[in-house]
Amino acid sequence: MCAMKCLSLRVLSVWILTAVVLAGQGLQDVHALIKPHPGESLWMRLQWFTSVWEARQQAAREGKPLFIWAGSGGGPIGVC
Amino acid sequence: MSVETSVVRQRDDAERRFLETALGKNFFPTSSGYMECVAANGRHLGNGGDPFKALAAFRRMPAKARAPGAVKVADLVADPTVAPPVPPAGGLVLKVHARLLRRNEDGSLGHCTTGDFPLMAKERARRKKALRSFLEASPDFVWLTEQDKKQLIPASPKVGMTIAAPRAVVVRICRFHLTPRRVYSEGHEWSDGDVHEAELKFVVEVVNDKLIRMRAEGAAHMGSTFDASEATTPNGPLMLGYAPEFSGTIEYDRIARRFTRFDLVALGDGWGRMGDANNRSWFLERPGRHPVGFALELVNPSDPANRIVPMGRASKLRGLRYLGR
Repeated sequence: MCAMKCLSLRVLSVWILTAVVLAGQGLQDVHALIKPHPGESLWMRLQWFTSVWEARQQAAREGKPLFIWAGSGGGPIGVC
Repeated sequence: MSVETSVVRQRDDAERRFLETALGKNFFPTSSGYMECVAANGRHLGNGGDPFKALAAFRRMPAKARAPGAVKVADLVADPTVAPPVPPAGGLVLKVHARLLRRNEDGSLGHCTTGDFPLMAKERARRKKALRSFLEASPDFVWLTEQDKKQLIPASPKVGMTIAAPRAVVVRICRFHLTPRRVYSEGHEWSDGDVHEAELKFVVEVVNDKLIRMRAEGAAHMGSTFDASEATTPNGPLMLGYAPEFSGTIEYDRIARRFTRFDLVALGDGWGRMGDANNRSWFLERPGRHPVGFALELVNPSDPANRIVPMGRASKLRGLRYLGR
């Protein structure tokens, strides 16, 4: 039963990929489709630090304030 | 800068005292997301929700308190017991982009809109605008050790040869990263028993003095088995499931002796409960089954932004034996 279920799921997955290929989307098209597009995730363009202290030292050297974005998954450049 | 709240709160050093002094009661009381603006001398400038207001507050500070070099910050004596883990030396870091997709009428895949999610239908425009951010690619990182990496390099490569990816690597990718809920949460990695199938292999396509190029193939199945009658929303009986196929291109530079490309796609349908922290159906749940894609690519860990720990939680790395230890 488990083998049959796995087989049916594999068939389903292959169907998705086959349909995508038939629609003209190759691997690189799908890879690019998933990744951030222009205008998305704009905060990723910034130079992020992951160390408070290193950011503080840089801020002091350059005479700039710190923008701290914290989260349980590593903030915006992480998972959460 | 971007930090993991739990790691910052565990510290007992000058860095924690700097933040506690600057933020006071705003010093990350929970593990939720926070945005704050602080001057290098420790003055709190305001909530990061309005950075322009905080910048104006910074500019009102006396020049001697904010000019370049005015504030001296000595090096921190770091406590290694609370420092976040770093990528394994000699290994690889793969960035993961996770995105919910939609199936267009012509069979192609496309980006979702809020209109694809019935649980968003009744939300106001402003809320929908905020929820749109979850329809963009969500980041994560995979770490491979030097030993993992070496097992991906065929010793005597020949066109047509097949190399099986180490079982530990495949299960690591599937279990900890290929979950549809990763598009909105650092939680819900699969349990060991949820990984029913996980196969990834590389087929050598090109071999010469300079290059080995391999094609990635494989498939996986995690979580529940799809049942259309149970894949209802909200709060239907079917729990989360996902069954992707793998495809990709990996390139190894034989002269530089390093991987130069690691493009991998995991693409397949996801179904079932996309829940909140209490596993109640959340806005990103759809009835039936829908495509979910993960795009992995090789990144340089010398950039601090590429050193975020896998799953975004340092504690999970150790607790779940992510690297097998």
